[in-house]
Amino acid sequence: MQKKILGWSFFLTTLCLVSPCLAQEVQDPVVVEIVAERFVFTPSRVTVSQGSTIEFRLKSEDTSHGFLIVGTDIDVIIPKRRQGEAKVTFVADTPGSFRFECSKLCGAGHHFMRGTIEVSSTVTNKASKPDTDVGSQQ
Amino acid sequence: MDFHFNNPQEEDPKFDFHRFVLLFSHSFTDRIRFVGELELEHAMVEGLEEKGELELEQAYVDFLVTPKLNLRAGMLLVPVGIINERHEPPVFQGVERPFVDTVIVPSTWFEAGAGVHGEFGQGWRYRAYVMAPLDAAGFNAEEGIRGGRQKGSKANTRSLAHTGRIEYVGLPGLSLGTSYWYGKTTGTSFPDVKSRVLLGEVDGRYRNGNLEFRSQYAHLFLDGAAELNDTFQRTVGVSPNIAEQIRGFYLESTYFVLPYAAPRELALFLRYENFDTQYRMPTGFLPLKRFDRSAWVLGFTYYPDPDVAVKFDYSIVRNQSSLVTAPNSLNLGLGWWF
Repeated sequence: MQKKILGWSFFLTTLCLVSPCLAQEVQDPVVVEIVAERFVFTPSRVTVSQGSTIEFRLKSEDTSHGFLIVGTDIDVIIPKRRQGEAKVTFVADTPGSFRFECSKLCGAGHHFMRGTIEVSSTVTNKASKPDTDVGSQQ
Repeated sequence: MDFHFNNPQEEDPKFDFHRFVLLFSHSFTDRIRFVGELELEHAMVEGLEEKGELELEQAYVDFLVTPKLNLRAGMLLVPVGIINERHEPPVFQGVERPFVDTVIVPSTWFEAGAGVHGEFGQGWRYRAYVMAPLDAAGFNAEEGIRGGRQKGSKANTRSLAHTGRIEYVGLPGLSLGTSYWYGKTTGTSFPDVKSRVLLGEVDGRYRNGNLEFRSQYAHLFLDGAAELNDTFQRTVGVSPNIAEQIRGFYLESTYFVLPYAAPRELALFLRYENFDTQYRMPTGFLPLKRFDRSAWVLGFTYYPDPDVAVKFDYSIVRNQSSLVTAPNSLNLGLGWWF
């Protein structure tokens, strides 16, 4: 019985010590701030490793825009200038190229508003700084 | 939508519902899209009178292939200058568009054509189109090539023009661009005249905090201007005195005053413009100095919402003529977009 209690105590102690690290690795997302403005997203290209979780923080410099990642169910409205930001999380679990674009008709050049998320096949288990065309605003 | 009150010196003031625009968009698939823009200018279209215009400014299909290379065909906006592709009223300062974007770059400049567009990466992107050419029969001394737009209406394509733009949008708040238009002119009135138009342009916008600056320079070369003037003289009896070079530029600074809680905003602006549609004349023709103009435009825009703009400005226009004065103008405007 004592051995069982000792065994359980050791297991639980180990779990308590290790779990914050596990939690940190899983939960810490990579933060990418994107500014939307007729008719551009800045940055418009984000590169991360497979396994990363990206938290997009989306702001507008003018009207409200949409942020749609094609092929996913992510489609949010970015509020108008000075009216806050939208946050959306994208789990980069599949390598490849993912297009994002404005999904709310915003003017004559609406279809110019696009960008790309490049997910490289290098698997990562921790949050790492993404590469962006113009420097991420971590 | 653009609703104006214009009061030029020595003229009666006018209310003018200048533009009523309807935008359409449809996605056939994720990679095949349609965009359309139908615009009613000056509130009405009346038969046999030049009262207003109903214009199909955009109607194209995009074929999205890769980020670097996509195809587009239909009625397209010519990718020249700051305003032409980005002309919603809350997006620019002043009740009327800058003079340079009216008489040097004839916005809204749209034409039937096809081409490619895409992004090189690092914030660089481009557009390149082949389009119907300008009709030289519409050129004149005051507004340069503006009257030569064929607007995709049974456009004569005896020759084709090409146009392109490269821009850098890689830093938040910064946009730099350069663009051109090149093509032989057409014109059923005098098919034997061989003239060519080359328009080059550079522009930039930068916003940092409460300050925004924008500037644009455009220079147009018209090869064959003398022959055009002679042909007009022979056929119509009056020479239009078309220049072989026209050019214009402007500098604008805007300060966004933020005393109000969001979303309300107030922007104060000052713009200097210098534009000359008689900049260089062909041999044997003298420039009309009344068309060598400059303007100070100062005013404000109040945004009760980022998509609604209440505008006020006063334009002080000068020219180099000792005989003809240019009218100053007080303007009020209400523009909105949704």
